[in-house]
Amino acid sequence: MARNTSSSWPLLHHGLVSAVLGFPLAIWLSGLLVYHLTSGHDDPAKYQVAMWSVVPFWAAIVGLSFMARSKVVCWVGLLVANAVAAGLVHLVAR
Amino acid sequence: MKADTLRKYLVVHTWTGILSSLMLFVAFYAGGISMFAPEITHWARIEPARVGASADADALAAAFFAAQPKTARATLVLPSEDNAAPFMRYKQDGREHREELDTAGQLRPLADGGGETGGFVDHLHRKGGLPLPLDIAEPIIGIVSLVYAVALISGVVVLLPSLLKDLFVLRIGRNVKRMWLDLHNLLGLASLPFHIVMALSAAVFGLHDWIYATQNALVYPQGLKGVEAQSAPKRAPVTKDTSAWLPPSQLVAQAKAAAPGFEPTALDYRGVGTPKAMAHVAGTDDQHFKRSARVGFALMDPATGQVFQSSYLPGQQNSGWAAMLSSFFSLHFGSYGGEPLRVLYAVLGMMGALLFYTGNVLWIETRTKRLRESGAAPQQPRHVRWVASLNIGVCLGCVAGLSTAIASSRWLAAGPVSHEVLIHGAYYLVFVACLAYAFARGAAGSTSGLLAVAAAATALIPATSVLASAGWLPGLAKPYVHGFAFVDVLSAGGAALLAFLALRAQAKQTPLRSSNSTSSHHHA
Repeated sequence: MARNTSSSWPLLHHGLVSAVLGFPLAIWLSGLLVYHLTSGHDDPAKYQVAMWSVVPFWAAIVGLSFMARSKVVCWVGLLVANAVAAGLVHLVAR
Repeated sequence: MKADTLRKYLVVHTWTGILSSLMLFVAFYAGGISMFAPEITHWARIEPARVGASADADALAAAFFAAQPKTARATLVLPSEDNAAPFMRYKQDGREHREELDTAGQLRPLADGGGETGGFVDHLHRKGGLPLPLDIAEPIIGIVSLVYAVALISGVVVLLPSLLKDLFVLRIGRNVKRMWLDLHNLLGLASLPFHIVMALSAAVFGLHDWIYATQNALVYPQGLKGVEAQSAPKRAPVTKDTSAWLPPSQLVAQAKAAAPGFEPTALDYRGVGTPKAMAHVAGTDDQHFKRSARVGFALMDPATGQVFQSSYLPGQQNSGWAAMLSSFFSLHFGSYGGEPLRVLYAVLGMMGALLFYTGNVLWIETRTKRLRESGAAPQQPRHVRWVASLNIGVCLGCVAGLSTAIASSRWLAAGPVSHEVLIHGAYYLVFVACLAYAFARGAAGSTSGLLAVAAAATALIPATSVLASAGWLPGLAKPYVHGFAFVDVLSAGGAALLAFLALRAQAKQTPLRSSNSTSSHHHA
């Protein structure tokens, strides 16, 4: 357990930043990987599965964020990932 | 794995756990009980005498639509174990109405037999016990579920290194903290898939409006409306003349033909008077994944009886997407294996509640032990005492409150107080009283008393059944149907377990407080 509590504060930072920036990232990933890159746009279940997929993406992003070595790494990693995922969605969206 | 990584994830696990655990306890406990929500509702209701009610559902629907030409939505509920004759349910002026047909062919209102006790349990589950409207509480429990998902991820990371070494070891002995840790790990690992399913699906249920709105803005160039339109089944417009529609018996027959094993229980007529009118036919089927807790749905054209959408029809998912989607719902609701699976889900729900309780005890024990080792005063600091009181007060207050609410909703169903006021009043009164007692006496001083109260309140349920069946409670007598046995046996078992724990806590109260650790093993 964290006896030296000061060393635990970056984890709160990572958790909050990844919860906020991880949400749009999870949305982009759901659109890209689950909706746009798969077939079956006429299936009424597909966009609902895409909605469901946001939560596991989001939770995984938050879970991974604690591995970030510093606050800067956490911010840069998430911002770059958002930008890349958003760009790819705009490339493939039909 | 590096020690520093483990330490980080242990901190994450500790704080996400302590933040989410109390709402999750209520959600899991009430959720386990809600596996038998329809039985609980039926158990608590005064069944209206259906003397002279017609069994002709076709005539009822025809008479209803003739009498209510402006109704946009109405549900025909078919006879079942807890419903003697068909009736129509609809909303008008914000109130729900029920009508049946008498044998002379006249519509008449159905007597009100008390409220939806099972519905209260389900709402408490969906709100995590928060006394807030559902639409406000649901996003909150959605966020809590996401925090819970992070607690699961970090908990598994922490457990991984010791997984093989400590698995299934239960060290019950003088080291109290070790025992709670072993129990917490065993419960968590044994039901991990269940917890993953619940964390993710509950987050979706709580947050789907936000997610759809954001996807609409960010990932669909044509908007969500465009995506829906692209995949909507093409249908011919439905005639507004309800008398030209197929009778319910014909719709039921065609629904059954579309899915073997599908047993329709209700026909929900939606969009009546519009070209998109549909019969949203609910039905049971114990062999397949179902869209909701007890039923799946056939979406039918009410004029032709054609099933125009079968995504929610048990066993008739016509794509991988549809199969996946129905599994998500069904895995949350435990609606894929009939009664044995519902019992299993009820037990898993209780085990989940216990997991959260043991997690909080570990948090408390860790802080107490740390103080002892550092040679500080044996008295726990105030915040630790508060968390301990909160933990025992909320958990046992929820158990005692729910049992009291269920029992009193049957005892007082004929009384002057409305069901809504009665059941909320009973639950929150007992809940707040238990919480206050826990704070007044402290966790150690209140545990055995609160366990005894919870045991007594829970025993009221099977006791009521026995007394009513023996004819000693004439006002509460009703035919005993087999579904009641689940409510009675599970609550009798729960009461016995709580009573056993109360006796144990009483006997151990003093030794527990002064228990001393001999180990230097550090974990949670």
